[in-house]
Amino acid sequence: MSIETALAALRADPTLADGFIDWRTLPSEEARFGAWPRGLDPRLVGALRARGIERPYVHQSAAIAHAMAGRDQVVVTPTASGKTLCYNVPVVDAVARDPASRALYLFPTKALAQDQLHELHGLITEAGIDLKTFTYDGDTAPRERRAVRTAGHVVITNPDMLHSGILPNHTKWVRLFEHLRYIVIDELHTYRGVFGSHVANVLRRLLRICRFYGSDPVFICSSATIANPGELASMLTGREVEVVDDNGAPRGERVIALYNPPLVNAELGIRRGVVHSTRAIAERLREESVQSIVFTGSRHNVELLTQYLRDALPQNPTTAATVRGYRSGYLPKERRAIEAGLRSGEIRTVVATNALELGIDIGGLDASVLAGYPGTVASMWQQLGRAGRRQETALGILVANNGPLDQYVVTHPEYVFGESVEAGLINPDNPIVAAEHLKCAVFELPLEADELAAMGAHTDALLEVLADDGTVYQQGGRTYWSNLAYPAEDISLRLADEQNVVIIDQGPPAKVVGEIARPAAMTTVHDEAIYIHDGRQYHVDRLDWTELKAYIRPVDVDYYTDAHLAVDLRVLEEWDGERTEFRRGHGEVAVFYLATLFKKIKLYTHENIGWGKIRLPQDDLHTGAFWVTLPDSLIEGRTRAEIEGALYGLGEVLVHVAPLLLMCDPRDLHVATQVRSPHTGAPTAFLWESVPGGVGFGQHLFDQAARLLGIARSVVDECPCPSGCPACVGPPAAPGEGVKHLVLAALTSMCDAMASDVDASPEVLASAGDAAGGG
Amino acid sequence: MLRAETRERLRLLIREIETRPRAAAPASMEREPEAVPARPWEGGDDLEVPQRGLREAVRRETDEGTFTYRELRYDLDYAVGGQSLSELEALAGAIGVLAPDAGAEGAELESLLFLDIETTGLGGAGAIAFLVATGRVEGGAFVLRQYLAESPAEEGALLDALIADTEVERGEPVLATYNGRAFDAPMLDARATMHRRRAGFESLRHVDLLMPARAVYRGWLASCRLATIESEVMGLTRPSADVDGAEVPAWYFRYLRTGDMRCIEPIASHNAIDVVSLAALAGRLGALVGGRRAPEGGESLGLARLLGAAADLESSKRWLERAAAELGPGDARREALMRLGLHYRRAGRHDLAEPLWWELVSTPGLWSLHAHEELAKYYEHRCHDFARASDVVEQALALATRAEPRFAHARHIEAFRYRLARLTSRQKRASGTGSD
Repeated sequence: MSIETALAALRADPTLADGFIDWRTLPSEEARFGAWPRGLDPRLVGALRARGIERPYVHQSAAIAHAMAGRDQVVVTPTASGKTLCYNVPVVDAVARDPASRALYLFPTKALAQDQLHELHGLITEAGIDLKTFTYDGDTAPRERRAVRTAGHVVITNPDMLHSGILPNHTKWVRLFEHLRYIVIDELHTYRGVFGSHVANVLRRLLRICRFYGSDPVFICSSATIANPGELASMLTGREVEVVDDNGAPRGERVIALYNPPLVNAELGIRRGVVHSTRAIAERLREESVQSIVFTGSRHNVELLTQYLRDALPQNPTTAATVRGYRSGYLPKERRAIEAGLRSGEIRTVVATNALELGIDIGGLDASVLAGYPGTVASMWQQLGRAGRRQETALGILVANNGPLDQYVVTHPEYVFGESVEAGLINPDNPIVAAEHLKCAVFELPLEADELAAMGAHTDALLEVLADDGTVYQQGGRTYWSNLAYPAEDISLRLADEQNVVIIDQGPPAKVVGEIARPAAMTTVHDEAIYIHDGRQYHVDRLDWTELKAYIRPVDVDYYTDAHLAVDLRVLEEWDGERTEFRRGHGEVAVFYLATLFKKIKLYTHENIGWGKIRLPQDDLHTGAFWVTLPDSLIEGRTRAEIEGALYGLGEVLVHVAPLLLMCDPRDLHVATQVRSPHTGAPTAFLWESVPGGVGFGQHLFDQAARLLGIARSVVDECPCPSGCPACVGPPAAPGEGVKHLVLAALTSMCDAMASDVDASPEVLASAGDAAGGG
Repeated sequence: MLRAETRERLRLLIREIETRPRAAAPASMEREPEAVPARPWEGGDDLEVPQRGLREAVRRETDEGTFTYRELRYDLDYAVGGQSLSELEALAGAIGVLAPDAGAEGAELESLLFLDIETTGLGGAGAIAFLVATGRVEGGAFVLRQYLAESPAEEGALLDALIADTEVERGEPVLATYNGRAFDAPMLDARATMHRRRAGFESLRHVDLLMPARAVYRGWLASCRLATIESEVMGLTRPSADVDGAEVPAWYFRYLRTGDMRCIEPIASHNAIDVVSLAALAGRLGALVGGRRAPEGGESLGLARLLGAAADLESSKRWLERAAAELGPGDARREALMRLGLHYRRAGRHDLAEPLWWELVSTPGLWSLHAHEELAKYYEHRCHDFARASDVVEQALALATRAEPRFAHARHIEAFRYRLARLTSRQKRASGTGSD
């Protein structure tokens, strides 16, 4: 195998060649070195040199200096740039000086934490410094926990364990909290949205406990490249931070290709499906013996692609095992086996969700193929970075889907290769999130009157309610926990709604195959749905909505199911609004949703072969939203059908491009349109968050409306379709009746109305330069 | 200031959070006590409620603040149910057997600190210790001290006084508790940490009576909870107004809100009874070990277990012989026979063990398989009677293969088959030699 041969084969393949619209070779980069900061323990410097690290890269040098001087920071550098050294060196140095010193490492997942342990052990063994590291997570045996609590210099854990295991039991961690020097937060950019809002609250609680025990730790964060690493770090930690982003690490050559599947119906703007195109590319790479990872956004597509890629192989169990799926919902043991298979090379192709995106050790693969834009540039570079950690040339291919987001990205390379415009957003004061953590905080330490302000915006009102129902007890200006419950136990940091549906294969023997969040369950494991797990199809015999259990059995059918969700929306409160040629606003809304029916769709041909009703109760949600009305000039003299069509098209394009600014999963944001909205009295498109209480997307979109509308306009304007397609405003309802020109007119008028604001046209984005973003 | 609607929405939000189903908390913990008992357990007709405090208690001051405190004295002939505290005299001599690892042998009776705490939860920083009872033999009486935090704000003062009174910081007393190793001692130390103090209950020498009580009463009583032992063994009937341990936190929270003495008195009495009956149980176990009290029912077997675990094999054997002689058919008798058989075998008295094993052979399940195995070994290795050994093994195999799977594990069958094959070949060799 060589990448060059594989590249040649891909370029030569007539069935593929047309789709490659951009090839870029990112040249290798030379290392730039700095010096070891003065005052580092000589044993440590000796150990680093013995390990071949004569001098630090410039960013490492800066980061170590900041840490030693007690300045909080976020280090922003790509994968494989030696970021772990940025925090391991100051931590080991602190322990070398004072063996009582402690550090806490937070990684977003357990698997990442395990990998860090190896790294650190090498360094301390070499340095001959007595430094004990422990991971503390759900897998830590009870008898080991005592040792971790008292003897561990470095405790490696995840936010969930900190939240539910460590903070509520801080009296058992006195040594850690009394002498905590550093808090290391890796993969900071993953702490956004609801998860980030929770983690910000967990960190508030952590700092509160530190104050109680008299320590004042310094934060060392690391993040992939995003637009606002400093702001995100500040919101998470509640402190001003230094931003270290001058990467001095060398880099091997990488070839990045953007692939836009060919149009199969130019009139309707329909392109060949991303799944089919990715399958073709992955098969080609496999023939060239290129070990590849294929990333796809949905669990469903993981299964579909795994199944397709296996089907293309000679039918025997040995070859089937060389293609594996990997996603959340697989049991840990299954996952560890797949990771090992990748390292050993036994598995040639793995199809994964972003569960494999972060630093889980699977070794360096040859190629990374992205079946669809993963939603954020930061994610994209991390997924591409899974290929080529060695010195050889690595290959990365982004395959675009039909949607406007992908089409925008693949046709505007400057968006991915230029400076990041996507921001990590959190809302630590989300009332639901804040209320949950306020309870945890009171549980952990009685709350003093002067702490209220630091605990979030609505603390006094929340406490009043909690005192009313006896959850807390107030006396002498202090608030005490007065309830039997252990509040952290009931709060998941990962889900806005912690209720999961358990999926049970009825067997025999019956066994749990996975879990799924409640809202997603409405459309994926409803009665008669086809649920796919590791390339196997299951029929959902019954969804028990009160017990939250779905009973499934294996089947072998030639279709999958796709469910429809009906949505209604009401504005509860407008927080900010502006009226020009059109109205825009943001605020709190109530959304009512109901799964109504599902379609049966044939595999491969994707034709609709039947449908059924879904009988589930209506769910509702209070959350944040951003809305715009159609401009007045467009409404006058139009028929209702035209207005309906234009509004629908506007909503489609906005909801699809909004994630470009939000770093959110497309599923975190939805659109609803009302031809005559009771709130605005005009045709209105609402973009609402799927998270109860919201994490601030509405506000951000309101603030960035000019940029959002500018991007939307360029998407519609530049789309080659004649009258609307899935890549812009959605396909026309009937041939020839496109609303594309109406949407374009609306967006142009809206952009003009906002002309005094920031222009986010592609030219501006392009001028940001073509230095590659983080990877 | 928040607007009224926002406030109301927050209120609704929190209600919504609060009413979500919780993971498997026992129903009794979620509920408030349904009815307040008409009166506390010792009478007290003329109580005015609500009224903070505890009867016969005083407010006591420390540097950390005030809390409620009372002392109750019991003569040493005071009887808990049918169990007199006077047997405590025997306790000191028995500590080596009751808690072999405590390092407390030879401790004086007066140095023992009986202790039990009541908390608002099972763990985590949010569960406070609001009531502590200690008991100590002083000047010929059993002195019970209770420390009550009338609110969470008084916990610091409570701990302050407790630490001072018990001299825990000097490592003085020997702690005597029921499951206190796992719960009471670490809990008190954690609470002290919450008030930035060091207590050191966990480092005290500690006689945790749960261990010996389990050794003695396991298999005989339905459970080894202190309440079960009290009623089944010591004949104590708790007052009707007594509160169930699991409901204590809910009662205390109610007391916090209402100040109603009728909510706190039952908890205080419950806590006091716990410590007195703990002392009574300690006395009983001490007297049993010291030979000052004759075992009743299954206690003879239990005592043998306890002494066996403390490596007093001679006494252990004596109690097993007693149990074998006294106990009627049942698992206790079978266990006694089996243990006694082992004693005899180790002492080389296979002749005494043989009839015990034969008795066990006809009992159900594992006992029987065990006895078959012992007999087969005995006939094969001691008596060299291979034919008889083979008979026993064949009988065992027949039993094992038709028995319920949970008794006859594959490995038993395997072991018997292996033994049988060896016996057959030994038999052949023996008969071959004989015919020459």
